Amino acid sequence: MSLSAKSFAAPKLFLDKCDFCGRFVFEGESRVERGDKLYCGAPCAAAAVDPPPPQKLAETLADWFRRRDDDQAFAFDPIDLEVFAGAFRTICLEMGHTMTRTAHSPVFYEGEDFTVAVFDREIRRVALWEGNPAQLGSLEHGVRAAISQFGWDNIHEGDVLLHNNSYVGTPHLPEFLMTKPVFHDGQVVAVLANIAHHTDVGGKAPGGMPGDATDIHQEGMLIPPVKAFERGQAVEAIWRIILSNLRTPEPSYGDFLAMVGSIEVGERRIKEMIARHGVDRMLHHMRAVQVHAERRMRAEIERIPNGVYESEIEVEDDGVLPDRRYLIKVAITVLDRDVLFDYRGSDIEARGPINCPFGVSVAASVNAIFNVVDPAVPRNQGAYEPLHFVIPRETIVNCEYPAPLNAGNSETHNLVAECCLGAFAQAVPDRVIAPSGATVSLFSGGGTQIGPNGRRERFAFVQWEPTGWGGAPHRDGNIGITWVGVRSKIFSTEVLESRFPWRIEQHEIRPDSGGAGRFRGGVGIERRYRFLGEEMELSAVADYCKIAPHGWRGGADGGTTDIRIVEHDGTETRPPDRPDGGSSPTKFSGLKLTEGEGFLIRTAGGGGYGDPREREPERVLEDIFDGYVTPAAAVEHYGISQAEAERAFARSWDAVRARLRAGQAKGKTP
Amino acid sequence: MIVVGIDVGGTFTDAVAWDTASGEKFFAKVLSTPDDPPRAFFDALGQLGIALDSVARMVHGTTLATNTVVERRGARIGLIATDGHRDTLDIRRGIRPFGHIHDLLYAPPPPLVRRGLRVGVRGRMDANGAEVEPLAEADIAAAIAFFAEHEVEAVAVAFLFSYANDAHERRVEELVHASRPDLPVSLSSRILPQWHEYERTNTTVADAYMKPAMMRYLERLADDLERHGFKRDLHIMKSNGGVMTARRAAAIPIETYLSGPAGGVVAGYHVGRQTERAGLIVTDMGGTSFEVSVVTPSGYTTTTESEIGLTMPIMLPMLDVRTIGAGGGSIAWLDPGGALKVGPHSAGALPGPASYGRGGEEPTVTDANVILGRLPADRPLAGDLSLDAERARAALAPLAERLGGTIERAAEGIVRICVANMVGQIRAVTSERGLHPRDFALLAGGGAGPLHGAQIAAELGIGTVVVPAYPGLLSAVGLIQSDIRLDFVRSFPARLDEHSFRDLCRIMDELEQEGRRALHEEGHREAPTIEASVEMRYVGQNWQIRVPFDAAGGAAGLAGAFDAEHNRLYGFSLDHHAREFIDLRVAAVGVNAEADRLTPTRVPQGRADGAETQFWDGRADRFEVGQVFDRDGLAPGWRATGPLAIAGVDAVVWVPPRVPVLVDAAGNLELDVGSAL
Repeated sequence: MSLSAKSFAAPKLFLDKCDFCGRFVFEGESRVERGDKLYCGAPCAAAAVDPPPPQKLAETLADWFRRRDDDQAFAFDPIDLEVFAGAFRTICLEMGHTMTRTAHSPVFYEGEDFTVAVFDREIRRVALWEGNPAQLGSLEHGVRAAISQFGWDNIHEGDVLLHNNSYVGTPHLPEFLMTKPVFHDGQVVAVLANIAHHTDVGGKAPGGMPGDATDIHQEGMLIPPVKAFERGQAVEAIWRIILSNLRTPEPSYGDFLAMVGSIEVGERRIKEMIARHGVDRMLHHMRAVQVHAERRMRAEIERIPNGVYESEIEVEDDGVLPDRRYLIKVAITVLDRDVLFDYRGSDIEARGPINCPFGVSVAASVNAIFNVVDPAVPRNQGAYEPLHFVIPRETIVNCEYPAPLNAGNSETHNLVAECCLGAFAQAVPDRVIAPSGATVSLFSGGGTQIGPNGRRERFAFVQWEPTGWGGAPHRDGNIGITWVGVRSKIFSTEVLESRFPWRIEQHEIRPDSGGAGRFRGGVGIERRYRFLGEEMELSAVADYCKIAPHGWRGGADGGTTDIRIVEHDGTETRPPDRPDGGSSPTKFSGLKLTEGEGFLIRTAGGGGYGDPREREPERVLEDIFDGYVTPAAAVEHYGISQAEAERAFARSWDAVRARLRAGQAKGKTP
Repeated sequence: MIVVGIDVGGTFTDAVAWDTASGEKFFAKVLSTPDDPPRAFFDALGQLGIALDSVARMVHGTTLATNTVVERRGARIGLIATDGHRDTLDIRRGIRPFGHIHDLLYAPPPPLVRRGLRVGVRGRMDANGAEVEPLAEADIAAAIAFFAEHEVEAVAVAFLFSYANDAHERRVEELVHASRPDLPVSLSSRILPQWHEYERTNTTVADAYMKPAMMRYLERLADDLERHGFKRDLHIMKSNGGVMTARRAAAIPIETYLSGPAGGVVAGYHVGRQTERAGLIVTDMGGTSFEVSVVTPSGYTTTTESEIGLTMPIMLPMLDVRTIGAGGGSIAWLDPGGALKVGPHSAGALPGPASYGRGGEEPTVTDANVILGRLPADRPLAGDLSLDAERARAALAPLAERLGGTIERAAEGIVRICVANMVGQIRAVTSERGLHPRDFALLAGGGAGPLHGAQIAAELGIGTVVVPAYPGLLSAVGLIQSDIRLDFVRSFPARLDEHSFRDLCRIMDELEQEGRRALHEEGHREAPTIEASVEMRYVGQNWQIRVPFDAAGGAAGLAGAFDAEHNRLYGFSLDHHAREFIDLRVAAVGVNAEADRLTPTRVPQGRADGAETQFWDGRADRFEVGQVFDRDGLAPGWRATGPLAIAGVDAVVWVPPRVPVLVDAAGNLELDVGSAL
């Protein structure tokens, strides 16, 4: 084998690649060959060869869908099924607990931004514990990629594989995927995995989330699938390379240990299960839980009316070309017991880091459909069987090396999911809410302060803020919850001030940011930081600054994201107006602050649902008293009379507070 | 002297009285009266038939605090918070509970205080407790007037960093009391002096929310008791497994949050001592729910991470009791994908399982047990309630048909799945603590627990099941065995070194003095037991481990103890890594010296003859002959081997085939499940 630098430039696997979507085709998976082209399945082949329009694509695949429908002959005992399904779930739960309790970084113990899963030996997911739904689309691809790098013949008991290659199955570089096959009598009987978002991954910005990156290498180091442990022994060279390239090697090492620990707990439990029930019964039920999930999912899909539902969403500002807008398009076809997500017509790759790798777009699509079916459908591989994807390569929804992609997972993922929800809203209007402030609004960075002993200390951070949800068909949108696509706690003010040289001057809801509607959008929040250290660097990734979350069915748009730098004199400056501020108001890296300056974020609110004039006036008056809506907005959007609005406000604490402030101001006047 | 325990639960109110001089015991069980809780309390007392002026100690377990929050029947309250930070309860740290990850229609529970009644006032401390901005007393005066205008019935105060400096909160209390002496005030620095403003605020607000109702209830109990001749302090069971006076409970009602299930854990602990067990998994399975906790010879396991009403954190020290909806009344159903499910919906007491013959038609766990022969249909259950096997079969028939098998196989499946649900919960509570169920015996308590204990144990690899003398009265017995137990906590986040260790010792000393004083105020005159512990972690971690505090061991001793505990829990320690402490805890315990003597024994009164009956044998797929015994006929030393059932007035015990069972010296049953595995 001859090696040249060129052969390593782009990360590769020993696998065939679909000529349409670029996905790697795992050994044993179905494939379609047409001439000298290879496709990962009939949908890609149909989309590539003599492409039909979205309305027709699913029809041409109808026979193929039917042939793939679940194996009706496969029988399982309903009682054993539930017992085993519970046991697999419990294994994942234990793996998750081990991770949260031993990890060193807030992103795990507070944010729970990791997912653990049990796979069968065909690398189909049997059960999982998901901290972050965005990780679900790529998990099996990532595990398959790791296995394929070596081939089963070269993987032995005690081997642990590791990588963060986002082009073959991690959502972005900070997420490391660790996987370990479980052996029984020399045979692989299960595969365990843990994918986890680490605090730092090298690259140009601390925290691994530079909002203005133009290629993957600025975002961090890219580790191809390697053996991190070989036959139970740590491969020291690999660990040295990884830890030498992280800004925070010590906590990161603790986090990697936590990942190993979680996988080892899972391995012990799988072996106990084999000892108790026998390997054949376990393997049978690994399949049975998937068949059950597939039947549940297909039954849910049958409840969605057949049709082709099209939707598109515009993406603002890629962080590098702030005025460029990108289009994401989806045509979702529901055909009896199958669903096809067709992303043809979506824009080319963005110049900045808002691109989604294949798995992130799959995760977003799956995330959307899981939100419109019964939440009790088990989320193992079986539930994915009726879902099919056509995602052309080299687009914003399926980017290729070396496109930058760190914000694809945190931001664009949400927009892809919102786009799909827009389509589903046409099919099942009662199950979909108006668009939310679907942005993670993530800050990261680091800096220095003088510690109590007079020495200079460094600090680094990654954190995010919640946004408002869209109004629902029968009630107001949720206030300040991390968006639907992710599941993470935000940090306590008392913890932040104790750990970092900041004073948080305000952390409250943001009045009027919930779009007016019969059912009001949820409000966003405002958080205001004053910096008390020496100097710091600030990076940000957020959306919905230039395009508002839309109101539905007569509802008004939600409030937009607003990030400001607070100057020494109190002036609030947009980031692009700072000398080192780059060109985007919400996506930047390395913005410098000194002691006494500050920054603030006002997060987006959800769109309103229905005509605001149909809202009961008493509820508008209550909103004024509670301060979610100002009197001016009540008059403008809800048609409340000026006098009524003012009366409601006069009873509120905000009115008392204003009088107290005015009184004090007067007292100071000479 | 007579001690009395009264446990008011959701369905039944149980009472136990014990004459410690004569050893005479009295039991009572009446229906609860949720519309007027004191009525069931006095009904039960009346049924005991004892003179109240002879009662030396009375302990009460109540679910009033829980129900007030869950049913949203609390007071109209106001919150005073730091200006600019009044919305922690709306923002909720952005939390979405695990079961709602993919649920666009999820709605978090609304805060217990609406935004319009949450006021921000000026005044600010920093993270070290230094005053950054003085308290604006004009703002407080305005807030008091504002609350009066809006008819607020109780006030919660939660300022940023009040755990580091409580001066502003204390001043607010003074100002409120000066102008409104009748208005109850809850201070976050008093209830939970710990960081994390959302969790602290919510705990404080929940306290204020339930305070007026709790004060009314306890005052009425005290008045009525006094009229009936009871002259002493009524004690209330707390969430931490100890008791406090009703006076203190009215001042900090949030501490009674888990008052209901706590009694069972205390009783389980004492059964563990009586039977000399190294550790017990205490289970309590009733009609609607299954509760589990772990006890060891050194005590109960506790947590400070409880949640109420889905996602409202209550961070006080509580017994770590986990509850799921699995009970005798749990209903079996088929999901659309063809999987058999059991619960969480329950037929409850009304209509109850089909076999109760009170109108229930859906198949329940109790019905399944009747069909399998484990619940003898010909014997009365809980007084005059009898079981109807035909109704049970009729309820299961449609399910059996859809499952494509016999009614007996469906019944077996229902019990297996119910057991699997309980097993999952036990695994969760043990694995989170790094414990293996195999190292424990299982205590099967509650009305339905002894029917399922053997199967649960077999699934978990547990060798021994203990069925206590009166499994159905576990909670009430625990009440009279409880200690007085007061918890104190202080947040003091610092790296562990010689210097900080000296501060640590000083704060521990203050907490201990505070504990001794409070215990004295509670009327405890003997020397208290002081339990001091430190919550520690490696710098960078976030999950604390509790380590016993020993001033004599010095900083190095504390570090070593922490490393050892981390290693035990997670299989590794970072011996050269910096450690830090976060929360310092002291429990002042007025030990109940009588507790061990109050563990019930059961003396046989009848005959040990078994009656022939039929049990379903799943492996043989037919009914086999077995025996059913009357529990009151079984004397210590009695032995037999399953299949058999043992029927008592409060519960039925199922002993599966090949499992040996014996009655120990105290009248507890011991099932040797391990030998049949």
